[in-house]
Amino acid sequence: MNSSENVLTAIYRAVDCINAELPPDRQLRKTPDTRLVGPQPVLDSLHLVSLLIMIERELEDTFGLALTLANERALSMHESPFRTIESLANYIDILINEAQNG
Amino acid sequence: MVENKVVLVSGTSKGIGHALVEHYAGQGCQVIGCSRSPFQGESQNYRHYCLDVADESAVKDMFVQIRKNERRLDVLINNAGIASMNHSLLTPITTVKKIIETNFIGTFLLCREAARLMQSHRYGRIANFATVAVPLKLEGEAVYAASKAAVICLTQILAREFAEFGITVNAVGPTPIKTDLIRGVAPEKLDVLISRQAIKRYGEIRDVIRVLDFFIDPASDFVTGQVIFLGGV
Repeated sequence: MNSSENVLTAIYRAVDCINAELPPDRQLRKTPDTRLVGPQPVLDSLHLVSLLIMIERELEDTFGLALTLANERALSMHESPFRTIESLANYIDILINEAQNG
Repeated sequence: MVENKVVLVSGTSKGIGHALVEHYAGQGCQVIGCSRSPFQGESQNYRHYCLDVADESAVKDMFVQIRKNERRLDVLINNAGIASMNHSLLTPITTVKKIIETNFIGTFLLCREAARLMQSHRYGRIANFATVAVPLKLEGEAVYAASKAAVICLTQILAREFAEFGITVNAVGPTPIKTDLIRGVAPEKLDVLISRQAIKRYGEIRDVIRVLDFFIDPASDFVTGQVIFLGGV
């Protein structure tokens, strides 16, 4: 499994934790195009915060890296990296690459 | 009852923090503590970390260990703090930075990391330390009081931010207690301060523990964003 696949797996594990708290009609789909924020977000702010914390925890366990996802860079990007699971995974790939290669 | 709860206390090497370890470990809690110095003495159900609460990396490492070992945190008591009595015109900026780092940044860091751990169980109790120096506007304690005023503001806003995660955040504001924190303060200054309290005596550690017990009680789930000043200030 390459790094990108590991990132997606980590995100999906965190999604499983969040889904355990959500009612059946609000379950987060484990697909790259699932929207996290935007005009019709699936998650409320509480569950979005919890999801990001859980993803950070999964990444720490998988890669041994303490990454901060909601950093100033992410919040100031023209297009939010938190739009979809895919955009978040791509952003995390960049952060991991930077952390591992200085 | 807080029996079997996992309790983290900062500033446990001496004074109030040391007493809190004995109090909560004695009640059957799993107590974790931290301070820059090693913990003196023996206490069952206690694990100590030597660190500076303003050191983000060290604090994060401690929480990684707590997550691995205890898998949860129920209570955080932000007791670590330093003081410096001095006229503002004579206070070096290094002292200002040190006080702000320990009292405010340290409190913020521990609140943030604790709440990240607590939120996964949708339960937590955080108790911060203020001081009567804030409402009394004590001359000679401008920086210390300002750092604690920041802690009060932090407490009240975190109470709102953390409420939806089932985490309460409150603060206790002790009067002078005979600990190392006031060792360098002239007795006549302390007498003046105590004369401004409704109940004119030094505080005791048990007075602080009484308020903390109330804040961290699982039944106190509707009490948040509150600051209780002791001595009738």
